[in-house]
Amino acid sequence: MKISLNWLKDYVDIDMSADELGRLLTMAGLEVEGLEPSGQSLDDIVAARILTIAPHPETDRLSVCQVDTGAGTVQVVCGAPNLATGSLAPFAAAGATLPNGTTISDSSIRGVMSHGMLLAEDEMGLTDDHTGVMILPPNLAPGTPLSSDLKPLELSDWVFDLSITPNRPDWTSVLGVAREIAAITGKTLKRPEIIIEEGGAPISELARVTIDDPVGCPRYAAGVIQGVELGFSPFWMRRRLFLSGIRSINNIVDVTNYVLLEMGQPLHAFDYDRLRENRIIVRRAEKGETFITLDGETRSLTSESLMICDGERAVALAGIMGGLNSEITSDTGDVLLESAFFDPVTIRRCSKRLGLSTEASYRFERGIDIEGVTTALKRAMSLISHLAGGNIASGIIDIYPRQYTPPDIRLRIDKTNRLLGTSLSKDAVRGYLEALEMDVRDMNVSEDDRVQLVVSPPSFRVDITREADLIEEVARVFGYENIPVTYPSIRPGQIGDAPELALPGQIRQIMIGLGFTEIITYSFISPKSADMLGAEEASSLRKFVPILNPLAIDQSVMRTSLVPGILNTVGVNVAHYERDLRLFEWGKVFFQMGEDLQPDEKVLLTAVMTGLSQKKSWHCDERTLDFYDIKGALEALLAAIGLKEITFNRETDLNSYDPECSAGVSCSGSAIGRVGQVSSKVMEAYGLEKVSAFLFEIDIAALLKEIPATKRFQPFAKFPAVYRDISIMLNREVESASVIDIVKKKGAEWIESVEIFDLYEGSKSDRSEKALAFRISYRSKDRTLDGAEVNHLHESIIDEIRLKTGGRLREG
Amino acid sequence: MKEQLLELEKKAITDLKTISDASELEQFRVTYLGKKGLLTSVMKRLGELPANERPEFGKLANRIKTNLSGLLDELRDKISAKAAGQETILDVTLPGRAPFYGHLHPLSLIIKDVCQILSRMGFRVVKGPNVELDYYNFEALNIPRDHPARDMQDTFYVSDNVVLRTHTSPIQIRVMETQNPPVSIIAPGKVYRRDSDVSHTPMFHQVEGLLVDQHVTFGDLKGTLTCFLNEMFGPDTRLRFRPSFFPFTEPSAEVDIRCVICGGRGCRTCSNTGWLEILGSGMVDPAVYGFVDYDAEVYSGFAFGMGIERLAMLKYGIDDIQLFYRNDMRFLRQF
Ligand SMILES: [Zn+2]
Repeated sequence: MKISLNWLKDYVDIDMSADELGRLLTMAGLEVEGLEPSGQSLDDIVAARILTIAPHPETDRLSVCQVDTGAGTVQVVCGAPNLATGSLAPFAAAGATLPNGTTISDSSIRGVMSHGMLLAEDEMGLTDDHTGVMILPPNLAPGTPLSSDLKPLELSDWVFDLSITPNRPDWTSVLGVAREIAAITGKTLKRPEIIIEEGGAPISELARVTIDDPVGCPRYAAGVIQGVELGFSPFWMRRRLFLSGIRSINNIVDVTNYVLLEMGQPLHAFDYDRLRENRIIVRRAEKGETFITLDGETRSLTSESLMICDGERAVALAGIMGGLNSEITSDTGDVLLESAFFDPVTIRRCSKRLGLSTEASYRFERGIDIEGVTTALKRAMSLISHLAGGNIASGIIDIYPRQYTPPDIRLRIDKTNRLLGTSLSKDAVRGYLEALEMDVRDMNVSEDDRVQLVVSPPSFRVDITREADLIEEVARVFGYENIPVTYPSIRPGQIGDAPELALPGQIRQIMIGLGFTEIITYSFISPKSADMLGAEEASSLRKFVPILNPLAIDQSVMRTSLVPGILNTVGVNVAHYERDLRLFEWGKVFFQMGEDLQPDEKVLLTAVMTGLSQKKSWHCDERTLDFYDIKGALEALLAAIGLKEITFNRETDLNSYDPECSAGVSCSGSAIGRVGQVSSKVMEAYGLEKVSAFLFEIDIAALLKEIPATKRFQPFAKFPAVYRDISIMLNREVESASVIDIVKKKGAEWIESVEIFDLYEGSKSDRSEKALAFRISYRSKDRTLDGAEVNHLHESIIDEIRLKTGGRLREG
Repeated sequence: MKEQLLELEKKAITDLKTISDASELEQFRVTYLGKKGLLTSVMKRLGELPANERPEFGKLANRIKTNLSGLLDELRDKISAKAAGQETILDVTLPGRAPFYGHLHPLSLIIKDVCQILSRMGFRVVKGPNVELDYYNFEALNIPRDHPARDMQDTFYVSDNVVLRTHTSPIQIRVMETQNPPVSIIAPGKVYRRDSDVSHTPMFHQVEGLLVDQHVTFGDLKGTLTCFLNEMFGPDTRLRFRPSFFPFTEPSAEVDIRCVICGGRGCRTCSNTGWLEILGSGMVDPAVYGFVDYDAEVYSGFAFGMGIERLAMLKYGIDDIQLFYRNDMRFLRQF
């Protein structure tokens, strides 16, 4: 909410700078988000008297004026329609700078010299009015600068932009903020002037009000003014409305807005003559009823909407917006003014459902002061009769079936001190609360001998209903900065760190050690990603959790894979020639489990490599990546976190991977992830057809199951190992792991390790066979093996390999 | 005579060190090892020795001769290699054969810092779901369905009752539902708000903290957060606590630190206030205890939450929040 400092000064004496006041308000919980000067850079502008007005020789839209600027008479060309000989207007001479930064210069306007400019209000940033030049009070001497302290105009001002928390509707008015300032500075609040001269017929003869829904509308007050004269509002009112961001409409509507800002009570002015039967009925809308609000929109209503009706039809959407059929027009002569209290929940639901939020609904849904309803009505009638004349009907209508009774809230002094860590006395607490206009009484202490107070908050403090609310007020007025700093001794709770918590840190650290850089991408992706990843119809990649109100279509479902994010990131980097990428993301994916249910959230680790495995350098040639680079990185990671028994096997349903260059990854027989090259179709879908990307994806929950809970030390081998090599020609389809399996099975506990130390993939002409060379380390745990028995075993292993794979020993 | 021989060897080795070219080398060879050289002439006097000393002397002379010839050859190689420009000289400024190395995301670094500091103080780290029930995200945090407090956070909905969590606070409820006091937890994680502009991303990170026990005071809240922020931003960091509103705490406090950019004089980062909003906090509202069946007369506690992006921006001087999610290597490489 934006409010003017000058306006605040109407209700409370402020003897500090705007800056200081801003700090004070912020420290009281009324956060100042912005503080802007207004009307303060008018040093170059002076009052000038219009001496003569002559038509422009070339066009009748312009006039040529001679004006007295105090320093002499100058000629000015001006297009304003409201020029009048003898009136005073703001004048900027050549060289003057306007608040918006424009510098005035002498210029020829269609052949006539103009030495400066007469200004409209908007050109000085005073209001948004551009209907003509600003007319200054006639008693000013020509040449008076506008920067000086021009008392009646109050041009120099500050505008506070306040962020008001939803618990403090009483702060949504100038008077409410002034009241807070009065409370914290110890000043007295000055209330707005209300002067009402009732000269009209008794209100009971003019209008009737019926409340059909007392839950939705616990109080409705109305007054009537007849014979008003519609017109522009005076400058001071338009300026204050402008500074609060409200457009000036006419003097009647402006008064309702002015009082809304001033007192926080939304008001509505009806054209009295357009109210059928001179009646107001407050009722719920019929199902399917429609209504045209004064913005011209047709609104369809439900039985939840609260309506203001006349004898025949709806005339306003209660607490939100008036209707086109009863609004104030230039023909309006008689006005019925509404001031009511509407139920916050009713207004909020209706406003939300219609997507229509107004200054009025904003205040009603937070809760206004039910006891202030008639005061605001009278204030508005007083202003209207002052600005628009008219005859005020005698008396007002005030339907208020259940009178407000303030709550009695018990406040324990010891509880207050125990919660805050303070040692405040009863008198101090009483003082703080009384400064906030609370009614504080002593309570009989017989009950449990504790010092207690009974506190009744004022009616505008709708937020205070419990002891906790009072304790907060005590803390606020005492000052948070005055509460002593202490340190709790934190006792261990029942739960320790979640088991998966050490792992992310460890894995991230290993990944960066392996050369990968961490990325973080949005958890929502495009629903097209499943197609882009080439997911099959039944693939879990399609089990999207949709977002009902996404910001953009490409952020409209929760991700089922980290691959889209990672490939998009590759794209971002490739675009500026970062081609050799090693990236990883640790994050959640989400699978739909059914509507209105929480999805299955799974943590994945996904890594990608693109570009070169090795750049050309002084010591080596460049090498492009292949499958074994990403596989090696994955193997290193798994080994580093203590996983054993990792197997890689060809799988058929590896959606986004190249089927010829990918594998499933298992640990002790359970699947934990996938590794391989991204298929060219997927790369194309992501606009990366020129890039080869190698990925691995690991399911962290599956991984966790395989990590040994504790590590056990294994004694070193006591007896020497014996090494034997085999070089064997195999059909190229035979996988190395199957040979190693044969060795391990046959050699059983004597096999310590099997390493592949050479691979020959045949000559260019013949690639039907490949040669693999293995080094087998034989070792026994309990004795030294002798050469003969090793040779014997080795021979039988070779036979077994030959038999099972059809391979043959390679010569030499 | 034996001494004479050893003396000769010593002198020869000294001479050898002064040699820098082939002609000097030849000169040396002639002087010591030539047919008329010094070593030969000493050896010629072998006959002057008693017969029993001769074998030992011969052995020594031979050893010296072999030694000197060896040194001579070595030097000859060096000199000729040098002459041909072939000697290897280690260029220590050539880049090493470096393996790749990666970088942690700056947000991860900050989360790690925050969790480490708070863990040391006794808080345990817990986790919760990102896609959360309305009940945990709002209802049980004292944010009823038709309350204007819901407007404080623009929410992504998955269904009527399921939302993307708008803060990490639902974890408070989940923890208190399953355990009795004392409770001391922190919960880092992603949160989502329907808000995207220059200074907002629809997803961001928070760390939540909660302490509930007997006799926990607002003073304890001030102490804990003072300790934390002094570790995070340095021991001289000034802070202030000012009243605010969160539906699930009362009293509520916003915590500001003295602007780390301008030191309090006022700048764009702090909107000329000299202060930076860094944390939301407060004493747990008794209404929340009602939802988890804690006795508000016995227990009290505080909760706090902070935005990780904001901490990272301040700590690293990052001026554009969008950078965190663009994952540009030119950005990531700096951390
Ligand atoms: Zn600053």
